[in-house]
Amino acid sequence: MQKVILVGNPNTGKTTLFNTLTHSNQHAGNWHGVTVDVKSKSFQYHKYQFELCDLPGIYSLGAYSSEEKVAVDFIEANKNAVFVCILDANNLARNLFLALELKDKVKNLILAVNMAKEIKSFDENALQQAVGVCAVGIDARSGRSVKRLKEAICEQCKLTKESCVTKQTVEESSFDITQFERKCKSRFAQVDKILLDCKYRTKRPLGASLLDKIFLHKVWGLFLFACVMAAVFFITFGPLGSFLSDKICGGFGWLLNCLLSWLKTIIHNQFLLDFIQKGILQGVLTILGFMPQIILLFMCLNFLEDVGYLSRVAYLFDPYFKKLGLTGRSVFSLIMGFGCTTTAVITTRNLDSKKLRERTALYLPFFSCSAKLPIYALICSAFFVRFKALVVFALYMTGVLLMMLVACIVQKSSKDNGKEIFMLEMPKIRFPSVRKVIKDALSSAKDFFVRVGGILLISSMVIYLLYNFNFKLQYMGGDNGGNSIIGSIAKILSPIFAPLGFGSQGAVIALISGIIAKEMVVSSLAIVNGVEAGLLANSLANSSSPVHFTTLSALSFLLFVLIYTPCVSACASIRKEVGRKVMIKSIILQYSLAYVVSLAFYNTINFAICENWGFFTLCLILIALFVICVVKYLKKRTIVQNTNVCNGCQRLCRQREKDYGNAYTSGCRHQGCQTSCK
Amino acid sequence: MENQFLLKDCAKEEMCVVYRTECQDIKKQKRLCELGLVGGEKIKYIKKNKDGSGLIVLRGAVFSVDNTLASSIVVLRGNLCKK
Repeated sequence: MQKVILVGNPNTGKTTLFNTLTHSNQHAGNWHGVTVDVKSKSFQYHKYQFELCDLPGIYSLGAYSSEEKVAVDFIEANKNAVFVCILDANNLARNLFLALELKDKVKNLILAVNMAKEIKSFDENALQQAVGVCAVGIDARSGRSVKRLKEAICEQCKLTKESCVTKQTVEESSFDITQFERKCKSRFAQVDKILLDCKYRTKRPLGASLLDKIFLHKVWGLFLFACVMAAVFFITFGPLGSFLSDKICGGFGWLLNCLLSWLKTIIHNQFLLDFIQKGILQGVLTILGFMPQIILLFMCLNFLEDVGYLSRVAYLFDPYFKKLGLTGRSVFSLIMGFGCTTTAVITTRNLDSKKLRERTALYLPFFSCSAKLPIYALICSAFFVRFKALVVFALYMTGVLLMMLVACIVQKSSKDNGKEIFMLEMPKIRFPSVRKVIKDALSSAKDFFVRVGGILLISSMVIYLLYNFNFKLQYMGGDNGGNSIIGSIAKILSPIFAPLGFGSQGAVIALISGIIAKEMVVSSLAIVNGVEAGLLANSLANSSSPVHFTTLSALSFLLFVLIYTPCVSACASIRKEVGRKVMIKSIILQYSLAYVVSLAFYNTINFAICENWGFFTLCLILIALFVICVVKYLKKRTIVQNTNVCNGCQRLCRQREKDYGNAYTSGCRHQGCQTSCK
Repeated sequence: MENQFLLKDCAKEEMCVVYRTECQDIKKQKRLCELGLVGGEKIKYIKKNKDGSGLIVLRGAVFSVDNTLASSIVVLRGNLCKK
């Protein structure tokens, strides 16, 4: 099978072309950094079988971020493949830089000029002659001229030669930047000559469009962003989302009843019937009821990606994010966090520095993912029916504000003088086709079903068994769940959560199951309360149910769920991308902050209502202890960091003195070794 | 040279030519060169904020830049330079 590798600058349409050629639905978006890993799939044309590989976008064969390293390493490992370099017709002046680099290094190269119909004039044959390789104009989105590209690939396969790729690595000691700059200059001069020969002229006016003037305005841009996010929440949790969710819940409730009636006729074993009803059907169908809202949320996020709005948001937020130790580029990953934390952590690969990746991954759990959506929707249906969208919006904003607070504290304590430069290409604003929107919605639905059918189904069965059997593996029945395996564990942990207002075993069981997957919180509540999906919300408000809340304790529970540790899959992703230390820091931070915030909220409001001094005093003591621990930790970090840095030149001192009290603080002398700064 | 200015001191829509970039990090410097920030390239603001951040046009593409980068690029006025 011949390997065909799609390379090109970011956001040129590689993944779109990949999807068109292989009839798949890989995630594509209108911003730099969507594809962060190599994707492969086979396709056939005439008698030829090809393995098509989609790479992350690169500007050159010199890798800079980790996603680029993935691409360059792949190119080096597959030297004899056929390379298709995708060029954006609107940006040939820059895209041809990589094409010329590839031409020098690789023998089997085809140029595919994407979005060729968007430019005023362009001579394909002249480009072919000028560069010396086959060039084809295509439109990856519509599939226009893709057949010609396939023909060109077949032709190239017949002529496949041995080639070699030399990876360029930047070694600071031997690298001559002046020489490199001269090389780049001559290459750009070559590109300009080629464009002149091709009579290349673009339609795109080189000025800020009217939309950009609004999107990028310092005041109106931020206001518009707030409106856009409010609209996303309104669509998801407002009348449309609630209507669809109610219909789905009703439909699944009817389906459940039909299924149970039929099962009762063929299964006579009561335990098996209970297991299927409560362990499988109730647990899983409860989650499925929230499918419309999750799909609506993903549709909105995908739409914002495809339009190119996220790059504008990155530009708007860059000055504010710099104060938090991040850059505008972190916006992509953070907004992806509203969909799925696991995927969002992977997108941090497109961030330049390791420290930036670590911080972004650390702050991602504050951005409430879609898996928590069923929990919010359930509790709001029970207690805040009229203000559902508002309460959920407030929760999301609380997460964002907490993230900013934590980021501020971390940034102030780190004495970070490194100034990250921010340079991001602004993609053209493009509205996605209706076909793409529907395709994305179906893809989200499919991913959701796969998740429900996989981990959630197994977890639901496990929770049911743990709730109905004790340590001696005797069947307890749902009414005696307090003495079951998980009930006994919850009994030990309940007193810890009592000051937060939700010390019942059922609530603790739900929180424990939420560590596996956040959707399991809702499933566990359904299993413990022993009710079907449509009646779960009412049962939570009913004081006779095993798990019930008051309005205040429900809000406290929501706050805890908002902040506490991300699921196992997200933790594994953080560990893989940025390391075990950051994962452990994240878990400790999320748990402790969730506890303190819930504690403070519940007891403050409770005190205001009931004037319960005892609990309130305990709460104040715990919060004071937490704050003292944090301040001591930050002070210790600041002293250790300050000792190493010269006040004058801000460079690190190689020697350190143990007695920090004698440190010389003024002028250009190193604090540690007392030598003059050079 | 009195003809040299920082990009952030240039006006909106004023065509300038890149003279050099001053970036301490060699990897970032290399990336800027690959994006087109080499001597002789034409550059101009199409949207400029007071602190120097904004949108620039470089080699036919629109980029957003922050004030740190705008303070690192030394340019010549468009009518005084030779490519």
